[in-house]
Amino acid sequence: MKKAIILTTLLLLSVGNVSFGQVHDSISCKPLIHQVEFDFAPGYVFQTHDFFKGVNLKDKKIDKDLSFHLKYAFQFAPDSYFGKLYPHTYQGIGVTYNTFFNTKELGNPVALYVFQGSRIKQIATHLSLDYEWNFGASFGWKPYDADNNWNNTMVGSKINAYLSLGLLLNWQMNRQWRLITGVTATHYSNGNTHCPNAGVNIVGAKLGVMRVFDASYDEALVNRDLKLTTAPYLSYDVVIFGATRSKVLSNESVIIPGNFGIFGFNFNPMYNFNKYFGAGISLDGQYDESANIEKYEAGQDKDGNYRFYRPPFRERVGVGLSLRGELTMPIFSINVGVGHNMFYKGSDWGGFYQILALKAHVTRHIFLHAGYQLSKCHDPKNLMLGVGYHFY
Amino acid sequence: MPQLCGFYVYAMTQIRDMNYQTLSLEFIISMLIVLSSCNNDVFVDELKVSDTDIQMSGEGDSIIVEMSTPVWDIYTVNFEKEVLSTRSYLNENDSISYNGVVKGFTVKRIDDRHLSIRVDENLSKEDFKFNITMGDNFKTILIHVTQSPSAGYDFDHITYTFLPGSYAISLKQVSSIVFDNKSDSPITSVVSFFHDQSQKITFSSANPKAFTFLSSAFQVDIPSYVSESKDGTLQLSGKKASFNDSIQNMALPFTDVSKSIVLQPGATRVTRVLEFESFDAEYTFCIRNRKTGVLKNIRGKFHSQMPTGKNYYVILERL
Repeated sequence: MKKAIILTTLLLLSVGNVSFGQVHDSISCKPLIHQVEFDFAPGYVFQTHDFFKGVNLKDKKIDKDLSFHLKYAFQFAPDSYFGKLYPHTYQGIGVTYNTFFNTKELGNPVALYVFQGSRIKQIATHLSLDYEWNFGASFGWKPYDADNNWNNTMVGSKINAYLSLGLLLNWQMNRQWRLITGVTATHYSNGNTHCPNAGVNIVGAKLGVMRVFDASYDEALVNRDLKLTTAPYLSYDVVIFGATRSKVLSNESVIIPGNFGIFGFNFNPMYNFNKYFGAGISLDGQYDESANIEKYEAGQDKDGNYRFYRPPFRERVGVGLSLRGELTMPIFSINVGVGHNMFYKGSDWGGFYQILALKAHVTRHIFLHAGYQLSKCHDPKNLMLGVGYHFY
Repeated sequence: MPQLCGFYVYAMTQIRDMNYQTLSLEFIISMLIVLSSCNNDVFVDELKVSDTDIQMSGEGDSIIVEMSTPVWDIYTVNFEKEVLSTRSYLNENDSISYNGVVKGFTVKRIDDRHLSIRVDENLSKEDFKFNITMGDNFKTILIHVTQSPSAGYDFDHITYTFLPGSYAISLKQVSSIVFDNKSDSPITSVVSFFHDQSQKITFSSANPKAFTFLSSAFQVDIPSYVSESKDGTLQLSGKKASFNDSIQNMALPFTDVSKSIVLQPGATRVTRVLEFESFDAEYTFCIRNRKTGVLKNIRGKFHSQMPTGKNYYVILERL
């Protein structure tokens, strides 16, 4: 899960890189509008497993979550290029402290994350409906341990990915202060880098206050009709990625020791309908060291550990096509896809796969890629951590 | 894992200074290095052998079976209801051997990657089949070996060489019978000296397979001793005997001799004493393989003993 730390660091750096980089593109003398936010978010933990339902040391349900967020964000000035393209979009970094009221078995994780939000609808003069996503790494979990923490079959690593999506009401109380409230859906898991990886899912409420530090910030200026649009165009993304993953023997529910290498590429021509949305088809190739490994079980060694023969290379490689949709915002893009392998051998490559990826642009053409892949909508596969090149 | 992390840090420090093609190439190479070194404690090399169904020549044969991994053991060798296990049969040479009279094998671990299978000639007239069970911690492999019968041998010739000093002449008592004449007057009887005598010959050899190459009924010429020269010599007698390791009785080269004796009233012991000659000869039994044409020499000793027919006695002893 060290990858999560590195990835988070890189994403945070990318935020800084692009924000500074955009200074030169701006036509505003005040290119960035800074803001700080503090949130309080109680939540309900989905009862997805007996551990949450009471099979734990306390013999009590684990259904409550409480988190506190401290966030810094910036907006591009309304008359800058990005400010005109995405007038309400903000992005930044945040830190959150969580408690599930079971420190001994789950820990009190602290997450470091990047986030981005924007306006969905202006409901009233000073009230808008916004969305916001968070993505980062959370630290300080108490993972499953066969000897010391055997009940916790939800979390398999000390560090887990943190994903959150919120629908928020943003009340602009005055030029400096906003009141934020809304609902959030949060997911913690390790991207199948370690087992078990059932993950933790939370739905919660959120209440926060935001301070905007640019006194010249004028909502009216933001709302004036300076918004830029873009003509439809074709673009191409090439991504190479890698990761490690863990695996479970499905018929025996045994965690296979070791982490297995993942390496792959995507070539994704995309038709960009407008500044927000693009769609296309992606050629996806992937090498998975653990693919079809169950067919090649050698047996258990003298210590009872499962051992395997290395599957033939052909069974470790799959090439497929996926339909992709992408939400494009400043710095970040969110890419979703559904695909099916076309050239493969072995059942592990069969069925549809799903991809959710975050792209963080560090230059005009180069972006960092953090994705996750599922199989058959429910089987966790692997992270997709890499770099990409965007050309058009 | 450390390699992977290291790569990302490295990539980010280089990302602005390098062109994209160079970066991609380095990324791919790094990933391949990482992947190729992954999980040696999870994956094990599968034990495979170069051949599991082996046909071997009946004239004696050997083969080397190659292993894909260095960690393996021979467990057992099974044949004809026999099970030779490594526990009881594996000797200091890391081999399991069976040395039968008409067939045999040696299964030997030569080194970590090679198993040697050697079979003797199969003189059994039928296929010789045996199975070698071997494996590692995860897999057991059965190697089936089938050896065809030998094509067999044809007799070529036999030679005898007299063993100096083996010739001997001796007197032997061959019978002793007591007659009780209960009458008041002597009676006359006839003694036959050689009616129950024969030439006894034997073939022997230190080679346990010496008598398995041809039928036990196969006959060869046998020699007789000629004492005309100083040290004596042998010549073929014109007789034939079966080439096997049993004691064979041959007809004497002279006719029986009878003599009348008078038995007085009362008990009389009649003892027959004959003069015998015996000699030994080293033989070389030469046969030719029907398939290969190769000559095989089998050496051993021929022994002959028979009455000379020249000196014979009957001793009458009143009791």
